[in-house]
Parts: sequence; structure tokens; C-alpha cells
Amino acid sequence: MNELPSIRRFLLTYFPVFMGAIFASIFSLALAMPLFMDSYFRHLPLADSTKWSFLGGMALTLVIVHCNFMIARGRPVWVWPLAVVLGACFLGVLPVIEYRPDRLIYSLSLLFPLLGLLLLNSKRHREMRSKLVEIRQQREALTKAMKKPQRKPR
Amino acid sequence: MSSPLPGIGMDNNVSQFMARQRIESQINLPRLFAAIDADPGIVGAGVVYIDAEFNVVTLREFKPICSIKPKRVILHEAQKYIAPAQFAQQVQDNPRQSRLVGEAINTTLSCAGAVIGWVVVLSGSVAIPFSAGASTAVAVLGYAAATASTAQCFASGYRMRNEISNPARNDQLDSEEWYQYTMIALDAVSLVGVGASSLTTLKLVRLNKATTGKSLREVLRGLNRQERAKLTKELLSINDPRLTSKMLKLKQLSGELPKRFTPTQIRHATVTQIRDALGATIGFTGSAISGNVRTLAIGLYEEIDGE
Repeated sequence: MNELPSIRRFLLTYFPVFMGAIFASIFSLALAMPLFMDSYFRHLPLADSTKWSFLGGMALTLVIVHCNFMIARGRPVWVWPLAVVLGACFLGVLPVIEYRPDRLIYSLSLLFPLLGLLLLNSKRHREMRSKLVEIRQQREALTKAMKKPQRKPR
Repeated sequence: MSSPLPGIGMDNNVSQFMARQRIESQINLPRLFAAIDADPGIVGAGVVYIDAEFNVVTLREFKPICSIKPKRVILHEAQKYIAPAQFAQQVQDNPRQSRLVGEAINTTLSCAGAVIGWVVVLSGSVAIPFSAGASTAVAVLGYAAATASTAQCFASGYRMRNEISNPARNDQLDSEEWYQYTMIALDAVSLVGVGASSLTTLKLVRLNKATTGKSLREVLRGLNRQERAKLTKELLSINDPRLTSKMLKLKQLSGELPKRFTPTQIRHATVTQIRDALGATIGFTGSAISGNVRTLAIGLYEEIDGE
């Protein structure tokens, strides 16, 4: 138990890529949702389109937060929903060029999902995920060790 | 923050000096000040005059009577070669620019809150020794804080994006009741985060003090071997109150439970708590500036255009 990886070193090595992936996902949502609404649901009044883009983005933000929390707790399978959200953002934004959107917003909305996917696919992020699995296993072993004797009837 | 416009009040060149002379001779300053002070909302507001050559002249410094945060009445003179309609348009657009800055500040703040929330989540997950109790609690608290501040980060990013391409959307958002309730709910979660995490911090520090009899500074600097053993015992029994001291000792002897945590492990727990409190506070500050409670934005950007 004493051969713990130094937490500081762990954070220094992996936190930037972890946080980068989160920010990339959040900003791609913030950029893409209003763009979707402006392009695919043009007939909607401003009030409705604002409402749905905001609430939709908020819901997806919660998904992203939960996925990242599960990754931090050592369950790397949860990276897939993240990848799906980012992929959907990218693929959804791509055809919007048809509607001549604001150039800056359009290019950023394409850039952020790609950046997010790149970070998720990076060697560092993969390494971090596998380390977190090890840590989860150690944690579970410790919890078991602390709980076991109390189950015995005395 | 108290001086958002650097250089105000410094007549550092001839043209500013001339401008001050001209303004003071043209405008009945006591009357102007009296008019301003008659409005309870802006009593004691600073008065700044910007003339056509962009000479910024402070006619009166802000006095904190109506509010603590500075309010300034800015009288903006039209440029010489500009049509009145165009000037009116410019004046209308100007607050928009400052709003974009406000949204950008807000985004930075709430995203900084999110960063700290995630640091807490990640380090709470990595810290194994406390994981059976304290660190899982830290991670869960961090989860709440990270959720609220990441959601705020999204909201402010969304607002900033709108401010660039479609500001009408933000006005729409501000006028919606459900939006205000959502933001209030997020604020509430942040506040709960603040409450809960400061409680945990306090508990941990008090615990440190009670078991070791040292001040916070000394606690943070580090403990010696016996003190660490004492604190470890205390932490373990807090993790599981059913453990009697005898059972604890037996388990420690058999190697199931650690005898004492290393200094870095203990310091890490304290630092994580403090960081958590800090993160929750930043998240709260971020939401205080945003949409529904625009105190800071009002303080910085209170502008009344002179006719």
C-alpha cells in the first residue's frame, strides 16, 4: 500500500490531458448546439430554439461530466459515450456549411470535437485510463480488507 | 477592480489639460453632481467625461455611498465627423462589447472552478489510503462541485458564443424564467458544495487540531511520527466508527490497516479539502457575476450616455 504513485506527479502528468478533453467536449457542445438549431430548425421561433439548444447542451454536459467521473473512478468503458457525443457534434456540424454560418463559429465547432477526440485517443489519456483501473483495483481490495472481518458473527 | 479605467484623472498631457479647462467652463459641474446625487441609485457615482478626441477626464471620483462597487457616469461626447444616428448606434453597441468582456470573464471564472472541481475528483480517486471513507466522500463532493461548475462553464461558454454571433439569444435567455431558475439551481448546488466542502475542511482541520494540539499552520507544515500515528488512528475510526480502539490496534498489528499515514498522504488530504473549498468558492463567484445576479457587471459597466 505504501508504493502509491505520488499524487502530485500523477496530476502533473495526466491532469492536463484529462481536463483538455473535458473542455474540448464542453466547448464543442456550447458552439455546436446553437448552430444546429439555427441551421436545421430555422422555422422555430428564437425563444424555442434558444430553449432547446440550451437545455440539450446542458443535458449532454451532464452526460460528459458523468462519463469523465466514471473514467476517473477507473471505468474506462465510459470513454465510448464521450467519443459518440464528440463524433455526433462533428458529423452534425459538417453539413451546416450549406447554410453559410459564421466562419469563426463554424471552424471552431469543427475544431473542438476533433481536438477532443484526439485527446481521448492520445497515448497519455490511454495510459491514464489504465492507471486508474489499477488504482480502482487497489481501492476495491482495500475496501474488502476493511469490511471482511465485520461480517463474521461474533 | 476598483479602477477599471486606468489613467483616469491624470491630466498627463496638454490636450487633456485643455479638455478639462473646456469642460469645466462649459458645464455647470455642481448642478450636474447635484442631479446625479438626487438619484438614490447613483449617489456618489464617479463622473467621467470622454470628449471627441478621446481625452478621458475624471470630473469626480467615485464615493462608496450608493454601493461599495464603483459606479461611474460616463459622459461621452460624439466625435466631430460622425452623424448623430451613427453615434447613437455606436453608443448602443458599446455596452455589448463590455458585455462580451463580462461573459469572457465569467467563462474564465466558472471554467477555473470546473478545473478545481476536477482536480478534487481526480485526486480524491487517486488517494487510496483514505479511499474507504474520506477520499470517496471527497470524490463525491468533488463530483457535485465539478458537475455544477462544468454546467456553469457550458452555460457561460454558450453565452459567450451567442454574444459573438447572435446576442439576441442572450437577451432571450435572460428574459426566460426557466433559465433564471436553472441558474439559481446551479448556484444552489455550488452553494451546497461550498457549505459541504467547508464543513469537511473545518472538520478535518479541527480533527487535526484536536488530535495534535497544533495550529493550522503547524499542521500544514507537517507532523512527526507519533502525531501521524495518532491522526491515522483518528481518521480510521472516523471512517468506520464501529472500530473500537482495541480492534483498531489488532488490525493495525496484523497489517490490515496502516499504522500511520506518510506526511504526504496526510498533507494531501488537507490540501485537497482546501482546494475543494477554493474551487467551490470560485464556482460561486462565477455564478454571482453571471446572468441573474449581475452585481459585478453592473459595477464595472454602469454607463449612462450623455446627450
